[in-house]
Order: sequence, then structure tokens, then C-alpha cells
Amino acid sequence: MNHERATALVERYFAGETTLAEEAALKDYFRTADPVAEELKPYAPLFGYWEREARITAPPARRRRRRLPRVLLALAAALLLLLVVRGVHRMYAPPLSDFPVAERAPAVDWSRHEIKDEEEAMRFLRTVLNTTSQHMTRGTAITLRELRKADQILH
Amino acid sequence: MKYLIALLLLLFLAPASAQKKAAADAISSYFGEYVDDERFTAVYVSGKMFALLEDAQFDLDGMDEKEIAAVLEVVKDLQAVRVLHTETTPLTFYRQAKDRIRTDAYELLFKVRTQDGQNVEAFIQDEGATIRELFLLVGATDGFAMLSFVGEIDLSKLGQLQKALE
Repeated sequence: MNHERATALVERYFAGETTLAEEAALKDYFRTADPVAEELKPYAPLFGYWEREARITAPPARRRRRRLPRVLLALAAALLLLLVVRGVHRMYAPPLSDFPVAERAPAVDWSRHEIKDEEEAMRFLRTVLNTTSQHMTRGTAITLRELRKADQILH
Repeated sequence: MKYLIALLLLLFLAPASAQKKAAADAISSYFGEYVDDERFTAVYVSGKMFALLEDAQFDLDGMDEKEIAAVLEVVKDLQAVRVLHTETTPLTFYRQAKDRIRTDAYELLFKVRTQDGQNVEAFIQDEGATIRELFLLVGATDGFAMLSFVGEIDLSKLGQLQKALE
């Protein structure tokens, strides 16, 4: 394309009368003409824009790191902490043999001696609670009597 | 987050507290070998029975409604009653038994020795302000008995019971 034709197309371009093919020819002119006509130089950046922009490529997409939800992380941390605490506790806990009473007392099976009948249970409870109540009353009475004696001595 | 950690701590500590609650009574702890000893009579009333008694209808000779109500009032907070009794060498067993009670676990409530040779010692095991177990050792020339009441014990109710049963 010669300079005159290019100048004419530029005028038509700004008048909005160019076809797509003419616009493509204009872009081609500004890309390949060397040198560009003096009066058309101010327009060179405008038509070179598309070529420049076409060379721009998007940066590679950053892969988002997958992270576990915070709740799960906290749960894992809490569990780990508990395991550590438990481990330390067991490490320093005295062995069972340090509790002779606990070892000496095997599990006692009371089921063989359990009262299953309600009336029998009621009779038994009446007797045993009556005996206990008498002992408790007598024990309290004697304690109070001794306290009164002590009070008399002190005053 | 803090609720989560609190929940985990609770789950972590729960088994320890459950073990504490399931602690054995005095008879099972110190005198377990006597439970199946033929020289002893052993009797056990479980918490399940106490629940059944609340809804039961009784027609017992020698017990009126007032007495039944008084007994139920005392046992409603109990979880178990255990009794061991023997008439074989009672004073020997009594002396042995006294030495076995660990005073760091049980507190002596009172100790009575009467002129007719009857000895009574009452121990309690408490958790804060609540008495968890009342344990009685009764030794006389004609018999030796151990009585254990596990549950929430109200000593004043026990004292009032005698009036109702008279």
C-alpha cells in the first residue's frame, strides 16, 4: 500500500467509513511500512496497539494451594496435644503395684447375694435401717453427752 | 474453636471421672474375701430394687403404710446397701476389720462401746458436702456385722427413721 492510499484510508477510518478488510490493510501498512509517511506517524501507535497487545500473554495461572479447613487443623492439633499429655501422664504415673489396696481388692460379685423380691427387700431394709438408725442415734447421743461433759470441765 | 477444645478435654477426662464414681464400697474394697466366705451371711440390695420399691404396692405383716413411707424416704437417694454378718468369732473379726479401714479414705464419724460389750464404729466417705457412703462396723460377743450404704446419705433422715419404726 502506498502512502497516498494509506492517508485516504486513515481519513475514511476516522469518518467511520472503512470496511474490515480496509482496517486490516491499514494495520498491515503501519506494521510493514518503513518508513511510515510523515503525516501518518501520529497514528502509528494507534494502529500498532493491536499488534503490541497481541504479543502480551497472560502470566501462568498461580495454582492455589489447597489448605485444610481451620477446624480440621485445630482438631488435629488438639488431638495431638491430648495424646502428648496422656503419654507424658502415663510415663510419670506410678505403676499399679504402688496401690496395694486396689490390687488386693478383686472385683466382688454381689449378684449371688442380691435380693430380687420386693417384699423381702422391704423387710430387710426395715430391719437393717432400724438397726442403723438406733446405732446412729445412740452414737450421736453419746457424742453429745461427752461434749457436754467436756463443756462443763472447760467452764 | 474453644468449644471444640473444651469438648475434647471433656472426652479426655470423662473416663477418669467415671472411674472415680464407680469406686468400690468399703466392704468390697477391704472385705471382699468375706462375701463368699461360708461363715458370713451376705446380703445386697441394688439401686434397681430401690427404684422398683417406689412403685410397688406392699401388703406386709407388721409394717404399716407409715413405716413403708419412712423406709422409702431414706432409700430414695441410695444406690446400694450391703451387709455382711457372722456369728463365728465375732470379736476377732471386729478387731481385724478395724485395722483394715484406711483413714485417708474414710472418716470416723463416731465410736461407741457399751457396757454390754457392743462396739459400734461409723465411718463416712464424703465428696464435698455430700456423704457418699456410710459404713458401720458392729462387733459384739454374739455377732459381727458390716453395713454399707452407698448413695447420697442424709444422716438426719436416718435418725428420724427410728421414730417412725417404733
